[in-house]
Amino acid sequence: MTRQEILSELKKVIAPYTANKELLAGINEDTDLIKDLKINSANLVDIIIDAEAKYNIEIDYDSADKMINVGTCIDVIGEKINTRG
Amino acid sequence: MTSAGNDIVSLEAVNVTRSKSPEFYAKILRPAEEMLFTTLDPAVLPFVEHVWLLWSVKESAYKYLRRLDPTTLFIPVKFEVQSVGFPPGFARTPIGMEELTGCGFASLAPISGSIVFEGITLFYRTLFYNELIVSVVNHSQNFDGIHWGLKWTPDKTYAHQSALVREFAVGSLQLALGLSDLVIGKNEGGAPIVLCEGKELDVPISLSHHGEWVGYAYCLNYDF
Repeated sequence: MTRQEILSELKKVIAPYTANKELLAGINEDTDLIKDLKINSANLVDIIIDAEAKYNIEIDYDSADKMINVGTCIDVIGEKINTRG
Repeated sequence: MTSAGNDIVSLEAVNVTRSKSPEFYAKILRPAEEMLFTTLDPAVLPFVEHVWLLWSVKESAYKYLRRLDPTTLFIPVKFEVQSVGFPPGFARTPIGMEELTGCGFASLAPISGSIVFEGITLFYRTLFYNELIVSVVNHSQNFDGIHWGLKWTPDKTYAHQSALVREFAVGSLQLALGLSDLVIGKNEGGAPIVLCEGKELDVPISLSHHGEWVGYAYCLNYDF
């Protein structure tokens, strides 16, 4: 998957957890999940679990550490897709 | 090492089905914390509530430590709750009021215990009502200098709750400090700070909101 394709799908994963739909529509790789989209920390766990199910990947704790903004989420998801068996 | 850390979990806002799934709670609880549940009476606190009790303690500890080291990240399994002590005769009740404030917890019989992160031990006090869980952490087991408050609001929007919790905290701070012209801002690390006439006061404060509840905790009189 390209980064753009992952971003497009990631928007759908994030959508249930942010009230700021206008900002979500215009997110870019620098968009911060907590500061910009106002997603609470419990919902970050939800997003990780939903991403795992959507992409059939497992996101370990060290990788979850990095998922701070949209760009790093795409990095992690892309890396896990490329390394899955 | 003085800071402040609090967290609110609105039990009406959590996804109960997801909370019971191993995919979810395995990202929050360490194996020892799952074992800790087996030592407790499930009639007193079912598993879902156990998960969220520990979550609230972990997030409170994270906020406490992040003020001291802004590079700290919140990975729940890296925080380990070591003990969960229920007061004698513990039973959950409705909170029964729209606002609750206090200084310390001596009269409230909280749940109490300790939590460790990378060798640092902190202590917590948790109030557990039918509607919500609220936790506060401290570096000491003496919480006498910790001022805290909870407030209900029907407006769940981020902007409203962000403004309300600041107004609520400032009201308490003005009374406690005998100062006016207080505002709450943020430092470079993103932690809330108390400002008086534009100058930062040495009053560590933590803010939280979830569901229909907002709350604050701040620390005065450090040398206890």
